[in-house]
Amino acid sequence: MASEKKVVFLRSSDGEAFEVSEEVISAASVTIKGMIDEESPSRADTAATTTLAIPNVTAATLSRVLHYVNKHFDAAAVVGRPDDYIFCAPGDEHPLARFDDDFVDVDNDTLIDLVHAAEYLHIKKLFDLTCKAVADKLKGRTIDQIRETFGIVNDYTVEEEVEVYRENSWAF
Amino acid sequence: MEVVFRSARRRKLEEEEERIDYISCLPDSIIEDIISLLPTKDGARTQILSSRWREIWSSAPINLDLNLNLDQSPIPRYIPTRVILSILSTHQGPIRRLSIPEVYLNYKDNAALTLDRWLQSSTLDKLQELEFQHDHHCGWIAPLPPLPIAVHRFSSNLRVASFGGCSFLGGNSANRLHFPLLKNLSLSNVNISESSLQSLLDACPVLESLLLIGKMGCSRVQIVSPTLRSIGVRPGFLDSVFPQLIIEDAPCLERLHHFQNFDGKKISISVISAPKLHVLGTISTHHDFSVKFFTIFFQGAHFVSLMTVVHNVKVLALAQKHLSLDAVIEFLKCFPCLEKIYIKTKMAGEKNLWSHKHRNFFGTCEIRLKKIVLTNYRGNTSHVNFAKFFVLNARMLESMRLELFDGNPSSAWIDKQHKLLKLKNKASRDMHLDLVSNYRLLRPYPFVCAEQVHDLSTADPFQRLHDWVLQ
Repeated sequence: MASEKKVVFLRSSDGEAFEVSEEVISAASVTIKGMIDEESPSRADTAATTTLAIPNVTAATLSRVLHYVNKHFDAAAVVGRPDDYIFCAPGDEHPLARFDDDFVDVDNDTLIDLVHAAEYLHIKKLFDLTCKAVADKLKGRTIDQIRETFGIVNDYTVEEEVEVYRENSWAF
Repeated sequence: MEVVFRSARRRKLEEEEERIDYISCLPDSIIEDIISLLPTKDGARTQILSSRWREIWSSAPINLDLNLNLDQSPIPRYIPTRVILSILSTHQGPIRRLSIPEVYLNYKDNAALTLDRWLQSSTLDKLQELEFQHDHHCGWIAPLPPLPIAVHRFSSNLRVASFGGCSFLGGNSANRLHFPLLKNLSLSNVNISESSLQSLLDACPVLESLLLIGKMGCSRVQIVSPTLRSIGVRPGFLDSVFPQLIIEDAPCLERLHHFQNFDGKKISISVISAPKLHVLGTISTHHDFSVKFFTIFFQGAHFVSLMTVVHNVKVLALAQKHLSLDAVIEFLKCFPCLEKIYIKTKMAGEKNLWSHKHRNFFGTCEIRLKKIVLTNYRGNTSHVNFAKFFVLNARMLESMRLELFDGNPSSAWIDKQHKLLKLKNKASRDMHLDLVSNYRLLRPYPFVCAEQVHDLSTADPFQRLHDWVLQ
């Protein structure tokens, strides 16, 4: 029996297609909502489901993004609405806070891919979350640690580096 | 051998080449966003990563927080004034947040003038968060300086404001202000009249949280606000009058915080209309403290009158110098839907023997508590009797957390406590007992107060406080 809810398929850069509720993804992603709105007139008379190409996002990243989107934007799945959050398990903060913490607890490359994807798909909540997670990885670290973790190439000459250090000695 | 060596080295080289600088693949605008989330010093330090980061920092929106960052090791240092002036005058990006602690606003150096001059800077044009605290000596020696005139130019953008040690009376009065976007407001040791405070609240049509710290220059604060969700009050150390906080009409109010432990200053809080209020604390059992709820009136540990019950309160924090089961049970009667209770105690406590009146209590009421947190638990007869009462009678209890008064107990002591508390006979099968070592706050108290009042993202604001303690 066909579900009444409309779905769309998103095709990743490496060709894998993912199914997602049209309503949920439209609420989450400004970019995809725009694509769906553009498609709408041509698909009004046909029963075929739409497949949208997402050329900038790989399957691995897209599946993570959709996991996030389904948790955060599917009204049926969201447990803690503001009115009844007080009834969730004791010791827990907002149930999605825990989910968010786990969601960004990934290696740097995956995290940066998520930042890219959130920006491209224009999912503000996810973009803020992932940027904050990157910022947390830069916080309180030494310069060498940050260069090492993110593979940042130091392009200063020794003299230049000494000069930048001198200018910013207050920050150390 | 040689072959193996060479291939290993080649592999290492290949790995190095493969290491892509992922973070630097991000466009400048995203790196700017990331920098703007960093504390001031961490942000500035990114300039040393590479020349590209240096360029990006110079035009990134920044967060200029001049407070000491205590997380920073080994010795936290204040940012020198010359650096602040240089950032204020030459930074190409906007400054989104500016936070100035009192150490920069010394009354001897004509702080009002300094502050006004800083706030004129064009890098602050898009300021969204402004916090400043004048030197607390100001009010003793000379009249408090007025609210800086420059605040007017930020008023249409401000989301967060914290004004400390200034006066809202006189020429530059509060009734000409308008903060259309302001969500969080803190006032600390200010001089404001009852009517100016009301005009200030009226000037903030979307205000969600309000924190009042110290002396207010008026003995009565009356709150009428259609938007406030959280209110916090921390009475001053020097107020000789008995301050009164009256929640006259706050239809959206969810949280009411009172910051003081055992020997705090006098205050009276009355709640006339706050139908959504469900988080309340800390109620102090100090005899100079009182809370009135419609017709309920607590003064210290005693219930002066008890006419009605308040069903909406779900989370309560108490400070009891002498742990008293009787008093806690009275609170459970007033707040029959209470789910979480946080109790901080100090001394050895009352005997807490059970008696018939406690048995009678079960005939009429049911304990709905799911979580109990008791701080400074000593494991003596008084405290054991108290905790055991809930182990044996609270059928819905999911978690009991006892934060120990004394450091690290032996495992034999813990085993003995488990026996004394009769855990085998617990009323709730799902109850979980945690004994954690002593309570030590890791953050400066003013920050704790501000976060509890202004951060509405967490369901239970007291939970966070206990996450911060060292375990």
